[in-house]
Amino acid sequence: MTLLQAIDVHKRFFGAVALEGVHFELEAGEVHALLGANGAGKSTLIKIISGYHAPDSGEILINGNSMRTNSPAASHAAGIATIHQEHNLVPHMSVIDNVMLGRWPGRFGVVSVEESRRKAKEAVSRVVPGLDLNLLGHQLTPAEGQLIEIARALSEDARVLIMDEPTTSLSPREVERLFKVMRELKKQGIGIIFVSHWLEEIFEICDRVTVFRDGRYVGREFIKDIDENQLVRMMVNTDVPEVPPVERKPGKEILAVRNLNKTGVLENISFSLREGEILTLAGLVGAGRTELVRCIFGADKYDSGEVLIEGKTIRRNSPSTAVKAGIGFIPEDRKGQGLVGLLTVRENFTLSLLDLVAPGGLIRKDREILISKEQSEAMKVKAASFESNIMSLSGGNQQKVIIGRWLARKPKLLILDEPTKGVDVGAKAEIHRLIGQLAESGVAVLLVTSEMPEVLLLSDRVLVMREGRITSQLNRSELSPERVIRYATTEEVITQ
Amino acid sequence: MKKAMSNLAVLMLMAAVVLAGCGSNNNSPSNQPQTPQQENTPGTNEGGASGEQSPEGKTVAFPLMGLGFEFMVMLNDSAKAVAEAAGMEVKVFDANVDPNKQAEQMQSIIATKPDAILLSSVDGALIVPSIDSATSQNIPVFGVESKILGGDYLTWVGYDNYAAGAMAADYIAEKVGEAGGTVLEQRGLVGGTGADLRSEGFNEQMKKYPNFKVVTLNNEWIADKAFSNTLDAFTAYNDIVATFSANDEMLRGVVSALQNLGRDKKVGEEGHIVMVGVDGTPTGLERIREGIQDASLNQDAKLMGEMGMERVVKYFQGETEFERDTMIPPSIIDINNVDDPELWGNIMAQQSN
Amino acid sequence: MNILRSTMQAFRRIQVQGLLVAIVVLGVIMSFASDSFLTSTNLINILYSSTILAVVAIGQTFVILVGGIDLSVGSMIALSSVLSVGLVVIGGLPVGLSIVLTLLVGVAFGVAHGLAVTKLNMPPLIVTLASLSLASGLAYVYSGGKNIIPVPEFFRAIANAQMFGGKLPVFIPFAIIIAVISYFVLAKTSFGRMIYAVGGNKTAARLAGIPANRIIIIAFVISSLSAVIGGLMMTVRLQSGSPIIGVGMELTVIAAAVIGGTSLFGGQGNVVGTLLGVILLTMASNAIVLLAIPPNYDKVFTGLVIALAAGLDIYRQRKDTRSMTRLTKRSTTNSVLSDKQTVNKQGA
Repeated sequence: MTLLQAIDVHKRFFGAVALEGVHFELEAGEVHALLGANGAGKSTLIKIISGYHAPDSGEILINGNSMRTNSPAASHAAGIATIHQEHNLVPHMSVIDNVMLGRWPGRFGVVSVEESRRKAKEAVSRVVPGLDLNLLGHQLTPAEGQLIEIARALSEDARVLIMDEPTTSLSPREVERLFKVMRELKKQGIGIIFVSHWLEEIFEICDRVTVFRDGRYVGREFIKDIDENQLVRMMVNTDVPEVPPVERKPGKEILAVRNLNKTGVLENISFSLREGEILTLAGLVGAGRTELVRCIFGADKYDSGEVLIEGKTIRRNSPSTAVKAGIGFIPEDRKGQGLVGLLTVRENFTLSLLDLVAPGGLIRKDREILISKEQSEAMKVKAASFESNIMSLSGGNQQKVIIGRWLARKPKLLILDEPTKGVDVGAKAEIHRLIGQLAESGVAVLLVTSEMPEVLLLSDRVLVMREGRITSQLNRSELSPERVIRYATTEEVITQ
Repeated sequence: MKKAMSNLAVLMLMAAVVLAGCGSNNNSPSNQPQTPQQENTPGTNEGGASGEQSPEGKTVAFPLMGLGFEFMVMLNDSAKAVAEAAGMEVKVFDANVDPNKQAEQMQSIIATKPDAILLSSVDGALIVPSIDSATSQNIPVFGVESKILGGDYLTWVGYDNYAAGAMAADYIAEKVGEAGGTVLEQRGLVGGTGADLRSEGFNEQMKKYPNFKVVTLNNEWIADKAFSNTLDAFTAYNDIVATFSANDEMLRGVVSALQNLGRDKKVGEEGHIVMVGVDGTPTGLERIREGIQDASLNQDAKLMGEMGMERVVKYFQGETEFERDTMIPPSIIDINNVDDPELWGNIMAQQSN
Repeated sequence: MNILRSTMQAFRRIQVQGLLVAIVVLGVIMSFASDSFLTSTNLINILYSSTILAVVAIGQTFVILVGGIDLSVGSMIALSSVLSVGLVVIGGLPVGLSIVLTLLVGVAFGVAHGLAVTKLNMPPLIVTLASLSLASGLAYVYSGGKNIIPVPEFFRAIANAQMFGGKLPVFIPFAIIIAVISYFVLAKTSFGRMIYAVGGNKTAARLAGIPANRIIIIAFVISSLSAVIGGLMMTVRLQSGSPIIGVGMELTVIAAAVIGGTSLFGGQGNVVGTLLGVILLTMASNAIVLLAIPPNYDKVFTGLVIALAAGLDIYRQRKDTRSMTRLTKRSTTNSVLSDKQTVNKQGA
């Protein structure tokens, strides 16, 4: 029996295409994987299925009936439940109350404790038999919390469970327990949509897989009919333009990272980066790339290891020291970590340049304006005035201001974390051109990006990370999207 | 600004919560209806502590209005001296002029079951439930200083605040004479028992002198407010001839303001502003000696502390009947008697040296 | 007329016109209601009465700008009063040394606040609330609850010092100098810029290489120091080392800064606004005496004056928001257009 169907679903957000004619179906008693790189459209489809977004066109069928209204309540009523990565239990309520949340049985608003307990027990025994029902939400482990969420869904007679990367914060043993529960649920005729980046997991638990790429439907296969290589090939964009060969001659070593460790986040990271070289950290979201570059810049603490610039150790956890040593850092979260929203364009330009524009501590406004002007021209920043508020600029122009802030310092090493995230096409090209120029002028560039074309276009060398470790290194000649995806999603560690 | 204002509101709320502490729920521990006794009728000993005839080894809890005042420091010292001489143990609690805090302290005090409580209340009305709570546990309550406005306390020794205000009015009228003029009243905190009585006594008595007009400055006991308000008053009124301050402390601000205005003429000089305070603090006495201040209404802190504690001693010696309310009358200190070594202000200055 | 316009523009730039209008309105009302109001004596009195509040509120402005708050200032005033006199009278130190030591105690409190906030991640409200109690307690312990007299000769000399032939108390030029320096530091120096950056977005400031924690610590030191200076001024004015002076003043200080447009979220505000806030509050208490408002009503009056300032400011903000909305709308349309153009170009 087909529980759920998505037919030719289209969705745009503010002009940007998120889904372009995707298909999906889920049978009773199957685990169906939804697979694709970051930005492939998995989350958008899930949000449409669970009623948070309405499709622009196309249809969602539940038990063969078209879903009339798009609201979380409607989809909930239709028997669709979402299990989150981080459980959403009420911390100070018992397991019983959490399972029965909002549907406490009773009359005239008086909750019947006995009835609650009975119903909760029945649901919980299907997933975690033997769990103390009086434990409070915050006393549960993440894994238990997740299972309680499943129990809640079962007690609501859900037929479709959406599991969005459910294994991310689980230990191997907890993953095993989850899979066991999933197999039980399969037998009971429940359909499960399983989103995971880990190919091993997909091969272990899933019956079928649907692959999306860049918002488009690529294909649907039975797991037993396909192997890992074929699956990777489906995920990779074959239309990526040929990489124009750029010959850069990397010079002396600028950055050396030695045995960097941060418990639970980074494991034994070592690499080096040379003058005029662009090194890209590739990997999935959550692989530890942002954490790594933040540690290098001193924005976060690390437990052990060493970061050296031109052979000299950089003090831990002190961005101001890193800046003095010649590192520049463009964070991923532009608004939250890059800009001071209350200040003007000029003031944001010179945020990292106060020592240069304020000799002896006195700010020379003429110098500020000069620097703002130079950098604006070099990067084609569009701003009405340097005195207008930074938030009045578009995302791309804001990003250019942040990049300009560092270029004026002439750094030895520039770290860019997702520099083109959320910027328009024009600004993106501008930023790409700029990164290339920087490398040619001898700056060592450390780039974090989740966009495959960007990886291919810019990198001299790629380090692929997975779960806090560097799993492989690819030189430009070895670089291919298949390899990057493969090393980012599978267990084996390739050492060069 | 909008955000800022709402933040300020939140902040003030928080401050209020902090200041109020958790004392608010401690206000009425006693539910028994009380019949307040008539004033000036003898109280009776209801305490269960009689039988033993010696104060030796008894514990007395002494919750105080606040030790931030020299007057209270003297009161505390003299009461303690009496208690120690009688071999009693005294535990002092400083309420920091916060009636809630005092109510809270009373609860803790009652829980430790002292043999008696000597109470200098922050607010004579708000403390009544705490007093009833103590007497219901058979702990006798003795009042000292600030008037207690109800409840089953055994006896109270205090100061005739009303008379102090009235005597100050007479003194000013006499010193200034027929000419009259505007008199600045440096008022204490509105709602404070002592402050209200002094103000009432002063204003009522001034009505007898139609040549005078009273202008009240609400300084809330704060000397710096007395400073700026006095400055302002001199621009608004050009016939100020005298000032009455509800305590000597606020006169600091007044003196500073007069200096600033160039109106700091000494007693006897042309254009002198007649200045009368209350309490007779060491600073006040010093000012009288220097001819800056004319007079202060002595509030004998030493005598008050001694009398208050002596009644506790007598109670333990078996005495059961006390005058319910005893008021120590104010006396005028001016240049004629300012060096009297018996004045508590002089005793205190002596100790400091 | 031109000067007037450019002055108004300057005030608009620093976002205090609402407050300025409130002060003018109150001033106009007062000059009709009382003959004494618009006299040089009275105006100097208002300034003189403002000085101590101004100094302490300016210090507070630094802390609020970095997103903190300092509740300990009232108690610091009391502690510095008791210490500065006590170290001479009880401790027998020379007056200069006692002043230096008192200032150092202020620095120590400020550093402690800053470290607790930055290194231990404690909320500023709690940290300085602890100091509110601690400093006041220390003042009582050291003084035994008594006034410490006599104040050193030096303190008397300052109290009597007047400038311009006895017309201008020295406190006024002193407070003006402090205000000018503070204005200059905030508006013209890199340290000032760092204060605004840290208050506006601490993470962004830190990632731009600004030593954010150090800036916060310094802001707390400035606040504590300004409270100590305010305490010394009050000691001079009242001629006594007293543990009760200044106690409870923190709310007035914070109110002055916030009425002056300093945002409790940090990053927004300036010295001019704070000074106007101080002036407004002092004018209100001046008006209470001049109009002989009875004691029971004076708080109501002060409340109405603050409400007037706040109301005018909201009116101004609405007007600003309206023009901002128009602006944003226009720019959105533009960006949509340019997006389309890009798309078209790509298509072609």
